[in-house]
Amino acid sequence: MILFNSLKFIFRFFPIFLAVYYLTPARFREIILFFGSIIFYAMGTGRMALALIGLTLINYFLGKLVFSRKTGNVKSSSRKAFIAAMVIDVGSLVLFKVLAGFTRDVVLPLGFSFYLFKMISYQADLFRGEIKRQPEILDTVVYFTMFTQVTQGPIMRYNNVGFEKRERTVSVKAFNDGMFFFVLGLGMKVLVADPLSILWNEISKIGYESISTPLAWMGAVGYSLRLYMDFWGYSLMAAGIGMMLGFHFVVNFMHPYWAYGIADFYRRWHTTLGSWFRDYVYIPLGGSRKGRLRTALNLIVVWLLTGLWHGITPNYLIWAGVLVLLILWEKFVAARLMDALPILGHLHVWFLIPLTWVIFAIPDVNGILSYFQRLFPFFGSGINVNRGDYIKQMINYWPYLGAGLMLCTPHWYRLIVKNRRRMPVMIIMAAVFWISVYRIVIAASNPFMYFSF
Amino acid sequence: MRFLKLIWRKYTLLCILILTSLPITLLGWAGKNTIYSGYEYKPAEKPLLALVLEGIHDGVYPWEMVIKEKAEDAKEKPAEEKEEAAQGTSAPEQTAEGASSEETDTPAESKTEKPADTASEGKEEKPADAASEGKEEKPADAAAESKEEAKDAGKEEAGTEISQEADESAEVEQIEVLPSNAIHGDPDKIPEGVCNPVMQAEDYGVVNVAFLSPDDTEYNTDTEGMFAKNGIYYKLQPVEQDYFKDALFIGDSRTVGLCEYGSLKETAAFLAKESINVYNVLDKELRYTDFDGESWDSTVEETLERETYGKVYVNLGVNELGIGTTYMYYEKYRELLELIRAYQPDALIFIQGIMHVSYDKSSSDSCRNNTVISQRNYSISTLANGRDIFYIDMNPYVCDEDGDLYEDYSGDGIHLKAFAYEYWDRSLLENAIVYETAQ
Repeated sequence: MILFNSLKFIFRFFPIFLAVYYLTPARFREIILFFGSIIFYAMGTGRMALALIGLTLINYFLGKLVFSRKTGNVKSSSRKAFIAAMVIDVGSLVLFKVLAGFTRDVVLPLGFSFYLFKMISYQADLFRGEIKRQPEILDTVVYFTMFTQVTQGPIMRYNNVGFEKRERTVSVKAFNDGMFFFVLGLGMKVLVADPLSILWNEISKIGYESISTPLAWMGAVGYSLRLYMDFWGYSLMAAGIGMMLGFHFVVNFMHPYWAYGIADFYRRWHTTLGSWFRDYVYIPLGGSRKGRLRTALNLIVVWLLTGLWHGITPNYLIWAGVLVLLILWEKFVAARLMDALPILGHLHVWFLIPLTWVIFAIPDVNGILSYFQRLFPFFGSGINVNRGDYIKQMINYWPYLGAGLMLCTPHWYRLIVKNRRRMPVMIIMAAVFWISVYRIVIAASNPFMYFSF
Repeated sequence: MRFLKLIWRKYTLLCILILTSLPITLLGWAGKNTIYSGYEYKPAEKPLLALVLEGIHDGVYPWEMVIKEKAEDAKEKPAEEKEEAAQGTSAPEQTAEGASSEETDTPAESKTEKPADTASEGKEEKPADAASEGKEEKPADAAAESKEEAKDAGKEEAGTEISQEADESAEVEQIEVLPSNAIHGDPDKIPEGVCNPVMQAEDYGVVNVAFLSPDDTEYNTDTEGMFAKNGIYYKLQPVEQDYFKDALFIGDSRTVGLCEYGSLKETAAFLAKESINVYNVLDKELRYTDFDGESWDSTVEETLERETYGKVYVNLGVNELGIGTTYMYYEKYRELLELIRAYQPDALIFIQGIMHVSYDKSSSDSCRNNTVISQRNYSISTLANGRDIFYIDMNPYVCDEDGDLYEDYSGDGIHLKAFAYEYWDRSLLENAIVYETAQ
């Protein structure tokens, strides 16, 4: 697997792939997409390509059995096949997560669980009869393996990827827009998220117990922005690539930092993951239709799974637990007040979400405690704190923090997206592209750039 | 034509990107074997235009191709020199990627050139002045003078030509009025307690040998000059904080940390910057923090020229773990010490061993591991003469029995956390040199 933000992808894999893809007659393009995807994974880790092919075939053949259900009554063979598929998919998911948690070696690349998510949703959709037509093998394997979705999603659904219509044509507009979104995402990732990750590294270098309170807050905000830019940037790149190949734009982030409250934040944050949990866990459990207690319980299950999915260190569980409490608090206590005063919801997001990301970022409980003591210094003083430390970091990082904060509001993004077909914006995007490429080149030739001592 | 226009109108962004990448690619192609020859070009991995961008980052601009050609025609020297210097800066980075030992030869060649200049320049101009000035100004206190001469005897190295006779007479005097804590010993072997031993570390078998030198490499074998041992030594001893009120610390980000979080920040002066290594320390502006806490940017030579220090502490070596071999590092380090001595003839010079990295790093990183660090520390420890140049090693204060930096002391495996700088402080306070005046 290669990263979208690498020279190998931007200047080698993708242009060649695009050329081949478009020189091939439309009806053979899925085959190109399948082989392209396999090459894409094999370029990094061969193991991943093999595991992927294996799971893809298993799921396809089990899926055939699952689909054999006729309207009305569920055939037992279909149920058995569905259960078998779930055991295999969920089992592999758990296995990879546990292995990743206990061994120092990376067994499989980070993004592998997204494939399993897709497979689970595919089987569930088949079982529930939501996929109307018996899927063809090519559609299925392409859907599973498509390289446009790697380490961070978006998790596409079989139904809404556009496999229904066979011969995919790409409009000029869609191609250009795809390119625009790719460059925009690249800029977010390389020019904003990557520098901000060095800020977080600086803070862990100093030690959480020794940072000044302003720096602690700067770190919390910086980390939040970094996560957002990294994630959203990568999703935009993936969506852009998809568009250039003739797929729909997949929305994965809807300005979460403009949300009215924590629950709303998570409806807008990584929406494909959120809606996956909603459709395949929360609603099957009964959702919010079975009374308050059951709703609370279902939310706890969903968030517990979300937490565990991120990793098995205690911080993820604490993170998920805190979020459940906040969401329950909003849902059952503060809801009316928040409706009356929307700013309260905004404040929830701006103030509480960065704090939850701090928990997310620090794997050990003691570290989290030290960090919070520095965020709220009335609980004790730090050790050997340099009071002016934030000034130095501010001088280094204000442009990235500023850019990140700007992109948190929907306005700038909308402005630039609205004008994306105008010359000045295109020139800006070309500049963003070249500056990003420059940064990538420097980082590649000097892997320690971000950590020069 | 109309077709092209249509394409442009339809795919403007794509056209802009392609049109801009073409000239850059052409430049990369044109300079591939000349100005960018020092860069690695892997067609399958990265485009030609990456060479141009890498060059810009290192200050090698595309128009230098033209200058170079002209220079070659007219045999103009300056342009060539500039070009070589540029290659010199680029080559070490290439080795950082884990290049073969064959490639590591290039930096060695180009490197010896430039520094030699600066060093010799310094030697010619400065030392003579400084030395004579120092002597004129200082009161004719017998002890002080004898101390000076004692040191002088061992350090004419600065290049000032002292006649054979003068040398001999100085030696005679020196034996008569040595500070009372001087130890007389074997000139081939520094007695225990004079320098810190080099801390050893567990080898986890991940090291890339391109960054090492053969085990039987001989480093300092000088029998004369500033690095030679002459049988007179001084032992390390504990001191108080105010010992450092005439001390200068030169170093990389670790020293920046010492300046920001160590207890010496109120006492000593610091000249440090992130990413500094022995290859670039003289070329860059570092951050100088004066004894009173004021700070500004300054180069090493400017700093050494402006002020006189009683002690100069050097701590460099972590950024170049992935550059060149141990011997190259040793040579550069030696040149740096020569330069310091030239400007500061009376200062005690402390070579601080490179601090080890954590187990996590040391067992996984092919260059940033304690095997490379220990070898490099050994190489620079040979530069100590036990008389006015000392090797001190903080590692026993911050490492476990395997020689790995305690995980709790570091957030990234390489730097001390703020609270842990006190251990470094302590190692400095407990390992200092004082010349006790003879009665």
